[in-house]
Amino acid sequence: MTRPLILDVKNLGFTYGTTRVLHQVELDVTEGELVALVGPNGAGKSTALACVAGPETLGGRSHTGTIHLGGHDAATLRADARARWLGYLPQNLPADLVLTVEELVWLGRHPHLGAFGLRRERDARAVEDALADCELGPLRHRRACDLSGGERQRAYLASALSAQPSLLLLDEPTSALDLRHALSLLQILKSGSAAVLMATHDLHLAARYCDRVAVLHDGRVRAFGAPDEVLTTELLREVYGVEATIVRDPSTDRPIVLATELAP
Amino acid sequence: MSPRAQGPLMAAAALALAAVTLVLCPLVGAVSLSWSDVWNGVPPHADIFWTLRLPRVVLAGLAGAVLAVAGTVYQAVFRNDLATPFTLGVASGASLGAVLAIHLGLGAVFWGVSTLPLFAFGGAGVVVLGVFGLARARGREQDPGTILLAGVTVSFLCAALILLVQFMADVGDTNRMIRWMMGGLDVVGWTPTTRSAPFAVVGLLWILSRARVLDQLLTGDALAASRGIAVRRERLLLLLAASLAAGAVIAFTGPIGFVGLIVPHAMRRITGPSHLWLTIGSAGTGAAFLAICDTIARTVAAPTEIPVGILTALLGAPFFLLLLMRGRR
Repeated sequence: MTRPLILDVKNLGFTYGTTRVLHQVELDVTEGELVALVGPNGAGKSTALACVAGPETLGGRSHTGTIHLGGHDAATLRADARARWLGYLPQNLPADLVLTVEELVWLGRHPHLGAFGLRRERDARAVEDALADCELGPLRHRRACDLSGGERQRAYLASALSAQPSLLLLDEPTSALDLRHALSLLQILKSGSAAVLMATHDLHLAARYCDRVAVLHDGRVRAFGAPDEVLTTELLREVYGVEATIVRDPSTDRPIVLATELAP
Repeated sequence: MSPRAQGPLMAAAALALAAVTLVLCPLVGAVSLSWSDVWNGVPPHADIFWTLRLPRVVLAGLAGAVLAVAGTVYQAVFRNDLATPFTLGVASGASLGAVLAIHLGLGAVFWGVSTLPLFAFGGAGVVVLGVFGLARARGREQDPGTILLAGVTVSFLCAALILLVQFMADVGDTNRMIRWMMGGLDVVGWTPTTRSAPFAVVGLLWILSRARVLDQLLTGDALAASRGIAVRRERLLLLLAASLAAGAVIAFTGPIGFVGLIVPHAMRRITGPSHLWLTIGSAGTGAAFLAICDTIARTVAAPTEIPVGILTALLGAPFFLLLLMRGRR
């Protein structure tokens, strides 16, 4: 594990009004790694992602603690430099967008464009690559509002990928997707070069595809490590309040989590 | 044709339409004018052209462009199809200023501008700044919903105050107030145009320079912010630019409805949603639309002039309904 750190979060805290949302959160993501951020509703997953994405995504509110992006203190990074470095897809993305898929993907390239939005050769190539990686070629002239939920999510992902970020922050990217689309999205992420920090409720996908899983509970990191170390019946009972059976997938040797009933 | 090719073409067509309108509309009226008379300075035709017709058509073009572009900005910033340049209370603030000026009967003149438009612009400015102040005081962040609510609330407050002033005014003044609030372009000379133009032109250019920011705002605040857009600052400046430009224009014309609502919607179907072409297209079409409406308003029942605000809705609504039906397929 000598791969360079893409993201290093130390002692992250965030308070919304009088409610403490995040407390002493420590997280890291190394190059090329897929990390899942799991935990019950309200655990602070979305807020943690938004803190990394930048203060402007939180409406200008600030957090405590430090965030390093590729070795640079994020607090000293300019917004445009940060935008070239990381891609972010929040949870609720507009479904009524009248832009075409191609236009939407070009919007994601914004941080790299020249003065007055000048589009260079390499920008066009990045957009084409993103469209191809997400298998959007045939849909490029369709409007985003006319796509199915799965297609639209892929279009937004392509939009984030077109900026060729080193780190992707995804907030429940598979929550509205069927089995096939969810798997295909994870395949795209797995084969891409960007490191990924992904908030999700799908423990199965997290265990199947992610290198490490961080469990957030009441704004704190309760456990962080390889899926089979972290996803235990004790932890699921404590964090989610459920009794779970954990079996091992013989083909991948990864854990499969089956919640069976509420914990007493 | 691919959407990317259509945008610039349609924006150019809208500008061409505006140019043709601005050339032809001044020739039409109670007295028909010809270019040769105007060119050769034949009185009184040349005077009618230069001091009555042309200033009026140019002001109509300026107002139409500003109202349409301001509408484009409001609809993008609030992500709301029903937002208009008047949503934040610009029209009600200006109207309150205007009825106060009429009621107080002040006759002073500053910078070549009489009290009424000054009060109207002042009213618009006070209301817009007040709305932003309210939104800022209420929450630490300025979310569009709060700004919108504050704008609507202040509009209602102004409407009540306008009624109060009208109630206290005598019949003649009340008539003038109502007439002003119908909107009209019955100006003489260049003063209204030259006084509102600085705000209008600076506002329009600022908005045009932020076209890519408006595009980003379509995908929501969080996504736009993650791409390096200073969302709150950009939103504030865009709304200020649009509101002050609209305020400067309606200080002289009165509130002219419909243009700011319908032109951006119609243009979105024609140029596509990219804001560079949408803004240019809206400016051109808004200018042409209001200039044509005003030409009809002053000729159809000549020598009586119909308030142009009535005509914009009468002519625009059927056209827009047609567009809606065709778009549905």
